[in-house]
Amino acid sequence: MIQHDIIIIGGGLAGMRAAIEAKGKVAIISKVHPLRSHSCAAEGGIAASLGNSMPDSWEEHMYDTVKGSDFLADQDAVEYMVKEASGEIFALEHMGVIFSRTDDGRIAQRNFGGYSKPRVCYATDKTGHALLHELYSQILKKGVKVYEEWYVLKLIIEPKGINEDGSKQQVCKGVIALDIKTGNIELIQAKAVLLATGAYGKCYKTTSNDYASTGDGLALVLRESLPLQDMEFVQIHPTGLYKLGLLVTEAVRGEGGYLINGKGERFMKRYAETKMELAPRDITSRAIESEILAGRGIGGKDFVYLDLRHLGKEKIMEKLPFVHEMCAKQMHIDVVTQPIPVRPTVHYSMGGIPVTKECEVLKDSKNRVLGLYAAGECACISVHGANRLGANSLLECVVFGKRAGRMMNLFCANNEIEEIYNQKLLEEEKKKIEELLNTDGKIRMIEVRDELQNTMEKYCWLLRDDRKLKFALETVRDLQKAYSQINIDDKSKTFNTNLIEVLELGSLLKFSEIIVLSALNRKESRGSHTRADFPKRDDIKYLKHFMVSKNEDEATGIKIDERPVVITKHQPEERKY
Amino acid sequence: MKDKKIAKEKTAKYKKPNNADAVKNKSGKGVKSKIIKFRIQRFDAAKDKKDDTPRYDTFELEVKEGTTLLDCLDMIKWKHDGSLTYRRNCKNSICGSCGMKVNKRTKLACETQVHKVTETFCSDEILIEPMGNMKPVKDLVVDMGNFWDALHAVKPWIIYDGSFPEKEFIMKKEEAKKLDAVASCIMCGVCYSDCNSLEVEKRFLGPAALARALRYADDSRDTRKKERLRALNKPSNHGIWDCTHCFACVQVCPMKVAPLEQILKIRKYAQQSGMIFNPGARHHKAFSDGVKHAGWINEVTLPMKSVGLNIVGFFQLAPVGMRMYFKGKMPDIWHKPIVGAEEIKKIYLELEKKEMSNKSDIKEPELFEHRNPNKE
Repeated sequence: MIQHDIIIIGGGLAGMRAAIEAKGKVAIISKVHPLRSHSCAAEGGIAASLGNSMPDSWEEHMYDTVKGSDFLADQDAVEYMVKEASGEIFALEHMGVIFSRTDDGRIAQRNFGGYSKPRVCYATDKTGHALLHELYSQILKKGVKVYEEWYVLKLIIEPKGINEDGSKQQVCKGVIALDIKTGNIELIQAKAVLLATGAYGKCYKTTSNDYASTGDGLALVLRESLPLQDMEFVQIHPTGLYKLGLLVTEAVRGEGGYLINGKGERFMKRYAETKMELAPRDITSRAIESEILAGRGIGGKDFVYLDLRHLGKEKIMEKLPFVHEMCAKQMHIDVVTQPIPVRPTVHYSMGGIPVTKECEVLKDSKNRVLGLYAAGECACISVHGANRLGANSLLECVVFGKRAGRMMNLFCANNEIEEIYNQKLLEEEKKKIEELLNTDGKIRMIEVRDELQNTMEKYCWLLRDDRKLKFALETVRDLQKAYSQINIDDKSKTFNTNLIEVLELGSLLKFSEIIVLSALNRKESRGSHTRADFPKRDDIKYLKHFMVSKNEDEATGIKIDERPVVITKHQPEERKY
Repeated sequence: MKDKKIAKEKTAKYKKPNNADAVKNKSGKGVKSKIIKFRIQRFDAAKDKKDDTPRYDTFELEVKEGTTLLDCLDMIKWKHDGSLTYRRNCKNSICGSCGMKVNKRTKLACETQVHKVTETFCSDEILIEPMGNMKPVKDLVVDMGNFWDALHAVKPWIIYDGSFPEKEFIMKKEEAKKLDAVASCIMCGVCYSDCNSLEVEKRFLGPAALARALRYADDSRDTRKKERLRALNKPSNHGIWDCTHCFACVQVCPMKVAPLEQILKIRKYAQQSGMIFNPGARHHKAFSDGVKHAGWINEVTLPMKSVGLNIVGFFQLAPVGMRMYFKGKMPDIWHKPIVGAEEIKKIYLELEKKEMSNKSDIKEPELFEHRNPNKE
C-alpha cells in the first residue's frame, strides 16, 4: 500500500507550485511528465501590479479583473490574488525564472487586453515555458516524488460524521491510479488530495489546448456526485491560427498588432472604441465572429488577419520570437512581411470544480469535502467570473497553487490517514478496466470524439440559443450511451495509450453534458456566454454562480445549486471599453 | 537489419473518406497530396525480447501538403491501428514530447512536414523509429530515465547564498538575453537521442543537461559558478570533456539551443578559472601547442601531454604505443614543421595579443563574489 501525506494530481504550474509549498511526504501524480504539462504553452505573461513601467496598484488590477469578469468574479478571491501577485512574481524571480527586463534591469511589463496599465510580466513569448521549467527545477531540488505517466482513475471519498446542517460529511482518503508504463493499478492513500488537472478544451474541435487537456479532474469529481460550477463560461480566444487552432498570443496585440477584416479595416473600432484590439477576449472574439458572419472575413471566408508587419523585424524578433517561429513552421508565413490568418479558438475554462477561497472543494453551496482541494484552471474559485483577462491565469495558478499547498499543510498537521472502509474499491476498478479492454465493441473512439467535438463546436460555441443547446444536450447524451460500445485495439498492459484515450473520452463526455446544461440554465448573456435568445445581462436573476451535479435522487438526474457572488468593492455596472 | 526475417510485416491502406479537397484543385492553387508509406518500428517491452529483430509495420496514407508527421501518426492510430504508441502533447513544439527518428535522424513529429521529408530523401517511404540512446518501452515510446537523471545531476536550479533582495534582482537586459538560447531548451531529448558520444559512453551527461548546466552557471543570480564548473570539469562526472565535437546536437535541436556551443563555453569558463589540470584541458592545450609550434598536431607528445604526470595513464598508453610501433604506425619523433608553419605562428601571436588586450574587458570572473564576498 502506497501512502503519502499529500497527493497532487497534475504536474502543471498550480500542481508544482503547491508541491513546492507542501510539507511532509508529498507526491505528484501526472499523466504526462511534468515538463510536458500544458502550462508550458502559455505565451503572453503573468499579471502583477509591479508598476515597473508606469505607477500601478493592486486596486486597479482588481477593478480591471472584476470588470473583465463581467462582475461575476468573487471579489474577495480577486482581492487576495492581486494583493499576492507582486510578492509571488518576486518569489518566482528568486527561484530563477528569466523574465524579460527593462532598460534599468527590472522585470519588464507589457500591455494586455482589458488592462488599464502595462501589467504583464513576461519572458519573451514563452512565459509559461520559463515558469514551468523553473518550478520543475525546484521540484527536483526538493526531491518531490513524481508519479510520471500515471493516470488517476478514481478519488476515494467516504462519509465521515455529520455537517452542521445535518448532511453527511465526506472525506477524501486517497486515489486509485493506473501506472501507464506497466498497466498496474494501485491504491494510494493520503491525508489530502489536490486536484490540479488543468483545462478541458479538448471537448471542442478548434482549440489551443493540447491532447492532454481533457478535464480528467472534473470527471473524477462528477463521478463522486460532486458539482461543477459556472461551466457555461468557456473562453474563446480571439486569435487562433486559422484552421489549426494553435494559439497566437495576445501579446501580439499587446505589442501593437492590428486586427484587419476583408475590407482592410481595423474593425475593432466598431466594438471597443477606446481599447480597440486590446479589448477583453470575449468582446474581441465576438467582434471577429460578427465580422465573419457579416461576410467581412478575408475574401469572405471564415478568418481575419492579425497584422504585425508595422512592428518591424527587430521588435518581432525580440519580443515575439515564438510567434515568428510557429507561423514559419506551421503555416509557412513570415510574420515580418505577411499578416497571420486567425480565427477564434477555445482556450480556457473559467468554470470548474467549486472551491472556497482556501481552495477546499465544495460539496454543495455550504459544505466542503474534507481533505480534497483544487487549484489552477480545473478549479473555479471564481477570480475570472464570466471572462478571464489574459495573464491572470498563470497568476491564479501560482497564487492559489501556493495557497492550496499551505492549506493542505494545515490540514495534514491536524489529521491522520483515514482507514478506507470499502475494501473492494481497488478490485472493482481493476475489473472495470479489464472490462473496458475486453469490450467487443464496434465503434472506434475517434468517431465518438469527433462527433462530440463537432457538436460542441457547432451548437455550444460563441453564439448559443435554446434550440442549439437542446440539440447539443441530446447528442452528448446519445454519445454517452455509445461510449460502452467503443473498441480498444490495444490489449496490452504496457503503455496503453489507446486505453488512456478512451478513458479521456469518457471524461470529455461526462463534463460536456454539464457545460451544455449550465449554458441552458443561464438565460442571459454575460462575458463569454452569449445567448442569442437572451442578449442582455440580467443582474437580478443571474448575478450568481450555479453549481450543477449529477444526482440520482433528483427526478431529472441533475441537481442545480446556487452560490452568491461575493461583491465587496465594485458594484456591477455597464461594461464598456 | 535483417529485413527478410520480419515476420509480422503488414500493409494497411487507409484513404481519407472524403478526399474531394485532397485532390489537386483545378485552379492550380489547390493543395498537393500524395500517397506516402510510413514504415514504423513496433516493439513491446513486455512481449518482445531486447535483441529480437525489430518488427516494422507499414501504413499507407494519402497525405496533403502541409501535414505534419504527428497528424499522420494520429490518423493511423485513430482510424487504423489503435495500438500504435507514441508520446505527444502540445502540437506546437514547446512541450517536447514527440521526439522520434525520422529516416534515422531525430525530430519532433509535430513540426516535421511529411512532404518535405519525402522531397529531401527523394522517396515516398518514411522510416519511423524510436529515439536512440534510450531504452525502448513500446513502439516509439522510450524510457527517458537516464536523460532526466543527467538533468538532475547538473543541479538545474539557482543557488544563491545570501539574503534575497526585497524585490526582483536587478539583471541587465544583456544578461537576460545571454540566456535566451539555453533557456529555450524544451528538454525533448532530441539531441540526447542523436548524440554520438553517448553511444559509446552511457555515463556522459549529454548535450541537453550540459546546456542546462550553463544556463545556471551563466545566470547572474547564481553564486556557485565555480563549484558548478569544477563539477562539470571533473572527468569522473562525465561532463564537458566527454563531448567529441560532432555537432549532431546543434544540427538536430528544434529550439536552436546549440548545446555544443554551450559545452564549449563551459570549457572556456573552466579553463579561464584555472581548471587546467585534467586530461581534457591538457589535451586542448597540447593540441593547440602542437599546431602553434609546427602547424600541425604532434601525435607523439599529444597523448602523453593529455595524460599528464600520471604513471597509471602512461602504462595505459604503453600497449597502444607498442602496437603502433610494430605495425609501423608510430609517428616521427621529430615534429617537422609543415610549409607555412611560420604563418600559423604569426596567427597565434596575433590572437594571443588580442586576447591580452581583451582581458581587461572580460568580465568573466563574473563569479559574483562581489555580491557575496564571504562565500565561495
